[in-house]
Amino acid sequence: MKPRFVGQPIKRKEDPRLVTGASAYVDDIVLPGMLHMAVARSIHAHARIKSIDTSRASKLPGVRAVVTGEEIAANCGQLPAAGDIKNMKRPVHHPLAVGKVRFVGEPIAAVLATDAYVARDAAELIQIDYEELPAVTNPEKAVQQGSPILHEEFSDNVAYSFGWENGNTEDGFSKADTVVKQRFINQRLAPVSMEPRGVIAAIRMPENELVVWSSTQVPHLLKTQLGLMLGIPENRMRVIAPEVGGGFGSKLNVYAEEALVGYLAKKVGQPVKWIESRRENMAGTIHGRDQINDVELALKKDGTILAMKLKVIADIGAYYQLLTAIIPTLTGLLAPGAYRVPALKFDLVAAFTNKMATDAYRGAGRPEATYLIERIIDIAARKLGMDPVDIRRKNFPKPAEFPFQTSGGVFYDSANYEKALDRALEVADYKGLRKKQAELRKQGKYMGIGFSSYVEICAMGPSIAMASGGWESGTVRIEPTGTVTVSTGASPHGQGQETSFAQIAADELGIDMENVTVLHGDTARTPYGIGTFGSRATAVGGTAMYLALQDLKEKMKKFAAHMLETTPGNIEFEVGKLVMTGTARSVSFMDVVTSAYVAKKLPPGVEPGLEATRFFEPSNFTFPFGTHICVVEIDEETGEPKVVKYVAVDDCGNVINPLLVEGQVHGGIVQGISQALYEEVVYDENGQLLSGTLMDYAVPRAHDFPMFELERTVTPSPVNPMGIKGAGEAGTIGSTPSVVNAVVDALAPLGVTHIDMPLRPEKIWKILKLGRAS
Amino acid sequence: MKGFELHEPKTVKEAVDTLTRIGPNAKVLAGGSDLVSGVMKDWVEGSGMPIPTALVDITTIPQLKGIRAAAAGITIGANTTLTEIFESKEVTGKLPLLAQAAHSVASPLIRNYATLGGNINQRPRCWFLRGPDFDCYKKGGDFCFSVGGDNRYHAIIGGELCYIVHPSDTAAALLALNAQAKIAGPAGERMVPFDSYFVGPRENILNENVLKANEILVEVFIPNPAAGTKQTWLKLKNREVYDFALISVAAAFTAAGDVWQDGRIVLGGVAPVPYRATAIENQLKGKNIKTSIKQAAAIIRTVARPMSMNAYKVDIAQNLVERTILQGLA
Amino acid sequence: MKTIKKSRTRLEKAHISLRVNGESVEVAFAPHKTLLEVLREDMGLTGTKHGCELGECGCCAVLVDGQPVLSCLALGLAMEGREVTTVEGMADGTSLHPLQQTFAELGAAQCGYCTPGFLLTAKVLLEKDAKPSRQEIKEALSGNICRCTGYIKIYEAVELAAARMRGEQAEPAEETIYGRQ
Repeated sequence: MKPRFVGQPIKRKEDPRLVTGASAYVDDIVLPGMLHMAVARSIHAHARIKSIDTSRASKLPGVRAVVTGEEIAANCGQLPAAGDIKNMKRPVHHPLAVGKVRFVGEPIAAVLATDAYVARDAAELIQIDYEELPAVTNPEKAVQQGSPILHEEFSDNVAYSFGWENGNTEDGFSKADTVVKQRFINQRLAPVSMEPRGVIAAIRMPENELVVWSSTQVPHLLKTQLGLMLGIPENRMRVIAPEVGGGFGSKLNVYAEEALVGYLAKKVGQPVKWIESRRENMAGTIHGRDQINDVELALKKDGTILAMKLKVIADIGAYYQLLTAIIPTLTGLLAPGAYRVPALKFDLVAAFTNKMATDAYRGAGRPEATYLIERIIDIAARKLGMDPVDIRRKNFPKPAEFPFQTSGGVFYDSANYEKALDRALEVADYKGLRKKQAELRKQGKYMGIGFSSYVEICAMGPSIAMASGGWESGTVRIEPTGTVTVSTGASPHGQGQETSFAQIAADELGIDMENVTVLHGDTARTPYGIGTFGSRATAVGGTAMYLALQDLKEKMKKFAAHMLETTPGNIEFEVGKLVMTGTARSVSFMDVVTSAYVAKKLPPGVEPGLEATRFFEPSNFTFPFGTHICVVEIDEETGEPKVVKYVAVDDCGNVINPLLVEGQVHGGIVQGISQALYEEVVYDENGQLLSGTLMDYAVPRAHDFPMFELERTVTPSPVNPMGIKGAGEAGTIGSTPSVVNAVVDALAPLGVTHIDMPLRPEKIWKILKLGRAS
Repeated sequence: MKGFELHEPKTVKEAVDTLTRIGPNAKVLAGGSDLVSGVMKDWVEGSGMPIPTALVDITTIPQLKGIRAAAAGITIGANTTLTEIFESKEVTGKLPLLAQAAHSVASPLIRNYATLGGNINQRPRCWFLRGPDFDCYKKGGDFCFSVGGDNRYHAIIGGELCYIVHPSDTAAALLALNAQAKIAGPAGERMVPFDSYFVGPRENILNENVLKANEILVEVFIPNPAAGTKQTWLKLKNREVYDFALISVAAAFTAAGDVWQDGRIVLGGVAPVPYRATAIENQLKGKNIKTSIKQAAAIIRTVARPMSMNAYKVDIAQNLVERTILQGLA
Repeated sequence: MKTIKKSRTRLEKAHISLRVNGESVEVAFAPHKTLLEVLREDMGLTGTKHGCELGECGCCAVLVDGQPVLSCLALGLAMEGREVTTVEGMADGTSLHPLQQTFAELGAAQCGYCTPGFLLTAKVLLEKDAKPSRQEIKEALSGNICRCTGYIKIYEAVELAAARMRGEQAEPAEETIYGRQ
């Protein structure tokens, strides 16, 4: 049966409710008797709490409860943090601070009131007496002797150190003709989903169950963790992720407010809601990146890479959130990028500082790796006098070498790096661009061409690599009337899997997409699962559903064979029917479904019903790849860089729905370019957050970008039966270095070899000025 | 937002009387994009900047709206929205500088609601002032956090005690166009040229202009520019839209051929007030612009006192002045 | 002169009459509320979203007397006698506005949170200008932030809707929906 839907740009099933405003995000849900929570937060980056006076707040009419750290610490568990790293220091992390605060925005007290305005008024009335302590915001200073210590139970601020070596690095360096070194700062970013976080919790009868609506990417993990924290048996916990307005990793977590809302709902016996303000979101929702990467690359004079040394200092903030400790370790896995790097030594130090925790932000540990390898290879090319294209080509493994084991310690599943590079060169007209650049340089103008031949780690992942397990679940039920209900443990929040999963199910069963409904995001309606992050929902969750569909097809074939008096091996699915191979004999899909449910003539040894659940454990990650080419022009008087052309050739394996993939690529590229040019979380030396609003943080807007020219190559992944690699993060991971490489290329005539992000006009201006002076 | 008392006067006198009666805890609401979001909803306050307990919404006063062209010049009511200004044929015809400045503010969604008066009188965008946790001079505190802190966007000229930059694009344009403000207060109305409308931190650290707590800006009068006046507006931002100016330049001048006759050059984003570069104007007087502008624009270097992180603004200001004037001439 | 007293307890309510999505309504609400809060909390019109409440993101854009404004900055009290249109009022009965259709056709919504604000802002653009250029579309939508789509499909959807509203038999370009392979 030829696919009718898979591979087609099918309109999203999600959209009718989104374009009419009919859907319900957390804050759109109103429950009878609902109370509202507001949180009083630390205004200091580091201080001892001398006293908290809640009396004025408690007296405000409409206030129902005020809780502080001691009560919560006594009644609620600590925030969970994954990570199994040797010698990892695990500080105490209560939902409300006890005794001490360690970052601006840390929750100190929670107020419950009859409306959100009263709650906020009351939170302002809580008087907190602090003894200010010196703060440390620089991770290198934080790990030095004499630095203020965040967690006094430990002797220093080293959260953990970690490292490994694959291959013989020293040997590689000793044989090198040339060594290039550079320090790269991968600045702290804020994920900024348009919907801030929000939580509602309510005790529901008759089950005496705590139902939590949270804007989360991981409802099942949240259910488990909240149950543990609140002491509620997991079988009386239900978490619903309703419509979720974007996450980008920031909602892949268990936050203090989720526990507080649950605790208060249980305590007062009424539903409780908390909705995050944007200022709270900038200060108290996880940040991303924030690494210093010291890289050394050893090469032969023909550009062949021999070895690499990578030292990472990760500024992880004051506490671990769920994946804080793990993210920087991923940087090592991907550090060789799309190249043959025979030996790699990776050393990582994670530092506690007086800032919000870092955690998974779109790409999560891999953009840092891609950035450093794509930058250092450009620096090497320049030093060796090679074209950046040639040095890349020289070090690519060939398609026949896959699966390819890297010195990052992983096996790349499948790739053809050169094909994507060649296609990008053709689309961009590389020769023409270099010619134009030469002409502009003669006129004293600055134009640059930047490359990024990235690879990334997707479809997370094999369970061995993930604390929670890396599998995913899918249940398919063919209802007695022939419609199909798919339930997935993944939890899409904008990616469109209600559509892509329905495409797969409809094609497999030979039915129309209208007859498939995809359920997700409700722990009571879906099998236990892991969630949506790490570009995994389709490649892992979709595969679980695919396997369940195969089970059902096999079972349906048994019914059909029984009805047609043949063997199941002679039955094939066609649109609307099951056909006896090579004959005109068939039974309709509906007749088979009916016979499975009425169960009057069951085939021997076959149970009634048509429902199957499968858990897919992938054997490996997948490794999407591609080449991005960015062209920038720089205003020589102001230092403003402008992206004038952008070409991306991506390979995410087989594509279920190109419309959805295009959307992921567009959005990803914009976030990646935006890291290169605009975005930066800024704390001052005292740990005060300066970039507390969207204005100061510089989220990109409609005006900022040219049209992207996108193409794809298709190299199916062998890791899953549908050959999918995943597309959620590639744009973000691939784009950032191409922009910085382009700007550095533009400024190369001035002798520039590196500039740290974001490439705001003032930085480039300084370089232009120094360049002119010299 | 905290609770407040809302007053909707129908006349200027009612508005002034209300402000006088309530005192400094009453604030004029003129569209509200800055007062509502930047102050009231964000709870930015201090002893010298209390959260207002009463708002006097002057957008309900019909007299304050509209654009009137007369023989001597154009009068624009303080309640006229920025969109109305740049869509007005009178303004785009005679005062393209003001139209462009109004058009460069924020985004269409803001410009549809924000008024001229509100844009001129909005509070500065310093991230310490706007950060709820910094008790700075402008909020009545005793410290300027930009001096030792991240001051990449702060003043390079005229900062004393406080190093904010004036945020208004239209203010720079109006100063370049030699406009005047009509202010109404308890004693009646007075005209104040924009030359003396804005005040720096040395003069009054808690306010950026001459308006007293019980006064309102009624309208702005822009005299017809001399025939052949060249008007140019350039604004450099971090992002193409919605940002406040890193640096902006408003220029209105006359030239005989390439020779500067008379005119004004005003910079935004450099000083606590819109900064009129009279030294540059004087240097250009009677000179060939094309051959003199480079040297004249460099005068900015002699008056600038950049802070630790914003020396780049001096160069950009110099370049932008040069570019603005040459663009005007062409 | 009208004076509306503040309420200490935040419980006292103000009453205004206005037209919302073509219907005359009276609404009572705490007088400190913004139009956004009144729509969402007192009228049950939750299609209008809040992304920053500081006038910086455009999620809360609605039409007031036909002009797009940020409802998080407008006081509810200032809406007396005004005509307000929200995303719930965009469709004509059961038939969607052309913009709603093209946003769905091209995948111009991902998480959907910013979508109502974009739709209403774009609606006014197309009422003023039947054939806006790409640059004019960017300019008109520059006050709205979308973190998912990178904006491109949004522009394309506005262009496609504009063409259809001009009566052209427009279909999305192959490349727009398939990409190039």
